[in-house]
Amino acid sequence: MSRAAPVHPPRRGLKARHREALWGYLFIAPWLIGFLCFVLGPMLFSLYASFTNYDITSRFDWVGVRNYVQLLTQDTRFWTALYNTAYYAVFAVPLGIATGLLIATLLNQEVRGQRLFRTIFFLPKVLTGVAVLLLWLWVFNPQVGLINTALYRLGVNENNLPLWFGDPAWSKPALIIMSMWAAAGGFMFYLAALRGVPRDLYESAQIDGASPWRQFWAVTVPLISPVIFFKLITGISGALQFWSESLILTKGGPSDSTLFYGLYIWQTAFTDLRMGYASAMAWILLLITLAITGLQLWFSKRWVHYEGEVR
Amino acid sequence: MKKSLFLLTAALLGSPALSGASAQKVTLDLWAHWGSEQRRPTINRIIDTWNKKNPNIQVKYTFVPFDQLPTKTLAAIAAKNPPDVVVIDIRTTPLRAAKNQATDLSKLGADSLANQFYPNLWATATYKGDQYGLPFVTDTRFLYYNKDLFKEVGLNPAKPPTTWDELEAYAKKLDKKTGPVYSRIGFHPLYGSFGLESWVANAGGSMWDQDMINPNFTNPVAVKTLTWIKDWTDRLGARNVQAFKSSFGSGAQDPFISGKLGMIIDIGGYAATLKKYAPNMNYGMVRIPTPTGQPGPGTSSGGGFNLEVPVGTKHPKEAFAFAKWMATEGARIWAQEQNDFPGAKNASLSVTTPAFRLMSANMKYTQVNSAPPYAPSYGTILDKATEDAVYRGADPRQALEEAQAQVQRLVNSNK
Repeated sequence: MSRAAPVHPPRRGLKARHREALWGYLFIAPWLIGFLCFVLGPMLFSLYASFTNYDITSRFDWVGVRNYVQLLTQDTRFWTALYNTAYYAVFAVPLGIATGLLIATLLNQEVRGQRLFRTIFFLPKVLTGVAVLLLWLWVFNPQVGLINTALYRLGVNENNLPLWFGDPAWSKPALIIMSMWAAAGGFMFYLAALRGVPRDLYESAQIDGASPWRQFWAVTVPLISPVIFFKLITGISGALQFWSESLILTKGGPSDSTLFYGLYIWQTAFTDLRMGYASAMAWILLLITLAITGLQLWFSKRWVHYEGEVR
Repeated sequence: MKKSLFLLTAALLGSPALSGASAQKVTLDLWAHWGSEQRRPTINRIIDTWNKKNPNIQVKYTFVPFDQLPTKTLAAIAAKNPPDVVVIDIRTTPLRAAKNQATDLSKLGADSLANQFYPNLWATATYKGDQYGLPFVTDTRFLYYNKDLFKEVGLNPAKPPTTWDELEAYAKKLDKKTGPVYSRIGFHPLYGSFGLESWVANAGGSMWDQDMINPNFTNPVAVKTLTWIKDWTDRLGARNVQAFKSSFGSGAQDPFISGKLGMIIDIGGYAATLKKYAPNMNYGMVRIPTPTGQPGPGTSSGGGFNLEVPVGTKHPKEAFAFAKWMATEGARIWAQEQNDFPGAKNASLSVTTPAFRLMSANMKYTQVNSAPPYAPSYGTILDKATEDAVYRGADPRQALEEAQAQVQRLVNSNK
């Protein structure tokens, strides 16, 4: 009993650095296991499924690239969905960034009650879900809605008022206008960045006689460009996956004008039970997102400015 | 006193032990979408009744929100841990039968029950000759018309329209314009809950071949019907029709209750809504007009819910026993408390309200369409064709041809 515990001689090759790495992996193991089981595993499964006619319960036969060929060459709704999604991303992302930035600039001014304003503008981030969407449905109501009533008061002829969700030409703009509401709540990022811009840069610019507008473009934008870049990347990949609003508000209509890519995947997977085909669609979306992100990273060298970066 | 207390305690302590001793006690999991204040008490009553009568087969109810029920059930079946009984969309039972998700109830003896149910409902769960579900509730549609408005424009309230021509003539009389805008529209074929496919069936046609396998969207009846709806819309102005529809709401904004519509097609249960929100309304409830005035099997349409036993349940026999009871005796309780029309004949006869008698008589003129197993999402494609033709000037035949090609492709690649 009194025998001392044997002292292990430090194993050869397991240097302090390695031991530290081992501990590191041990500590991140919960995340790593979660990632392998719940992200990478299902992804690889869906990649395999995209080459099959998988329908979840009755079949799982290899069909080669048939799903991909069919999507790209025969499926007109696939292209409609892709077009709708691109349309949404092209307008919603830049407008969203502009809105967020504008609100952040306003909320960065020294005025009384600024804290209150900041809280109010953050509310949209807290209030979400179906209730808010139903509220928007009322805002866009062609007959009694807020927007059309305002337009009518401004003198727009009754027969020229947009029908919004009732008209394929106006349904996507309506959803884009709606998305501004959430974008405005994202001002926090920009505000944090704006607060980080050194005051003395503005003072120097003022001494040189720069107008506020010029100061904004020559000082503010370059200095907060990493945040804009971050919002651009996450915004575009988010916009490419935008669809739940259309499921609740329009079900993809009228005339497929709000059939977004995600909605089409969901419909294919859970209404038609064509899981293999839907997996192929998901992988095409991943490739598109990767390509766009790659392009952005490449372009970013020209306009994104990191402090302390040596060029 | 002391003794009786002792006995009571012994009984209370003893009873769980006793029932625990019986070897075959099972607990069944029932999934359905009824969770509202109005629905919940009735489903609880049905289950309590069963549980009291069947100590060895206890049923546990799980509420799953309506829009999540199909996907959750599917996921549970795929994970091999499904509920034992599920209340699910009546239209998609053949799809689940084809995909090996619903248990073949014929093997458990379901075929002998057929004559207890309305045949058109029974057929919704028949796939390749076998039975995969039991009908629980359905509905059937009627034309509701406002008698006061009829009198106002000089129509005889005792003589509602019976043909399409009459329907249109009456509607024209009921239309009312204030300046350039309609303040009242007599009727529109796409207002209410009766779509293109229902109108085609009403005219005696069908959008599908006999077995619901291949689409037949371009058949003459379909083209004619879509053209009829389009002409009707053109007369009122497509923009007017759409803008007018956007002002509809529920409750006091209900277009029929508020007098914006002179006639509307809705389910039999709408009578109960009218009783609640417009108790003084002077209205009529009649069979939906057909082109000839003669009713046929597709004059009206219905939907509803089937009881299914998912594949993979550990207790198929007990699950079937409960489903059988719920579709008959349970449906009786449901019909009496909820006013939904049950699939079991006896249960439907136990309610004697005038609306229920009308519904019962309307059953043989009611088509309950199953979704085609190879193209369950065809509805969105058909809707697009309808909207393109009716509201956006597309040629009806061409719009239907396009939809036909798309759906056929879906069928071919799903076979």
